[in-house]
Amino acid sequence: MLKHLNDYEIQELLDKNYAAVPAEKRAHFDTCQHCQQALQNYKILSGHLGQEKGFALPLNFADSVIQNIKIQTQQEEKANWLEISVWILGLGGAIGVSIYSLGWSNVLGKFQNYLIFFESIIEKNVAVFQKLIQNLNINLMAIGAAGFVLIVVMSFDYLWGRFKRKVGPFISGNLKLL
Amino acid sequence: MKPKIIDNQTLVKQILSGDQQAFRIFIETYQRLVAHIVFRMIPTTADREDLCQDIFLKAYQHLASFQFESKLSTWLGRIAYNTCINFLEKKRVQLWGDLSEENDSLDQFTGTEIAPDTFTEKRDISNRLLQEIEKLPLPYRTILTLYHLEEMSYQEIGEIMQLPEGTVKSYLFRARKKLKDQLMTQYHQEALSC
Repeated sequence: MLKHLNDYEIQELLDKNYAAVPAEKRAHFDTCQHCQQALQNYKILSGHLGQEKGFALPLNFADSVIQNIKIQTQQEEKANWLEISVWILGLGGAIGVSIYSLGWSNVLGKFQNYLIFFESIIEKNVAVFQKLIQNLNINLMAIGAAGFVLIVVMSFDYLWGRFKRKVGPFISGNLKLL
Repeated sequence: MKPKIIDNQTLVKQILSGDQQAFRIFIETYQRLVAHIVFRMIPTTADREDLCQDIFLKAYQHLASFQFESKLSTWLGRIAYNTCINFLEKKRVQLWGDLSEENDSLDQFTGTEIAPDTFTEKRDISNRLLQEIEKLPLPYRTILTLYHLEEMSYQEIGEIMQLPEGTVKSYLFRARKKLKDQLMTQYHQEALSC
């Protein structure tokens, strides 16, 4: 007499995956009360698993999610403004304290000196660079064009990245994130 | 109120363009799936609703990156599953439990069966079943829920839980066997004590 179906095979029958059970085992199943009973018990279990009431969220769940997103967005916006304000205040304060402690004319004089200093550095470097380019016989226009294209591509990539990340504002709720 | 039927691509497009009503439909369509995953995985009642909120917030924030390479339900299910796993890890809950195959082999003869009538007669089977499900390891519980309540395929469950299809099937079979054996044992004991 053929052995009963094992648990794996009974569950394959439960999931209607008949091909996974060998033909002779299926033939045995048709005549074996024990195997049929085993499948029936699995069917009862499966029925109860499928009928489980499940879990319900409150009726106003969607409303509360949308409300929370709005609140969070407002908080993020406030935080962003706060951060920008602190930066501006800090920078303004630092400049103000420097001017106050050094004196306006002194600062202006120092600033002019710095400008002259930087100008001389730039002039020197440009001269060196021009000499280098002349020696290498490189077309400056070509380099400029390539740089321009690179900047355009990078800007486009940055803006596209921002656009893709951005989720637009809700029309009726003025809601936006990111 | 039943959510309106819109195809997912249109729905996502509308949400991304800022349509609040579309996002409401999205929530109402998928809140059952999210609730099933969260309520099955998270034991503490107080945390469940907050986590569901968190999941929809994450979905909203990352919707623009959804590429339609999988079903929207699978994508959201994965967010829900990962959010619950992260939450449980923070709470230091043992995630995988005992998944050893010891005393759990499916290759064996099905064992003693009780008559299906006797099995059905037990009116409290649903309550007992719930209790027994709670005792199962986390992956078993989640797979049972996704397969039987959400009627998902092995492939979809595998995508959500990041498990191979074969593993999903094996865990499902073992979970059902465990449940059936536990319930049978209880009824046998009751029959003997009568």
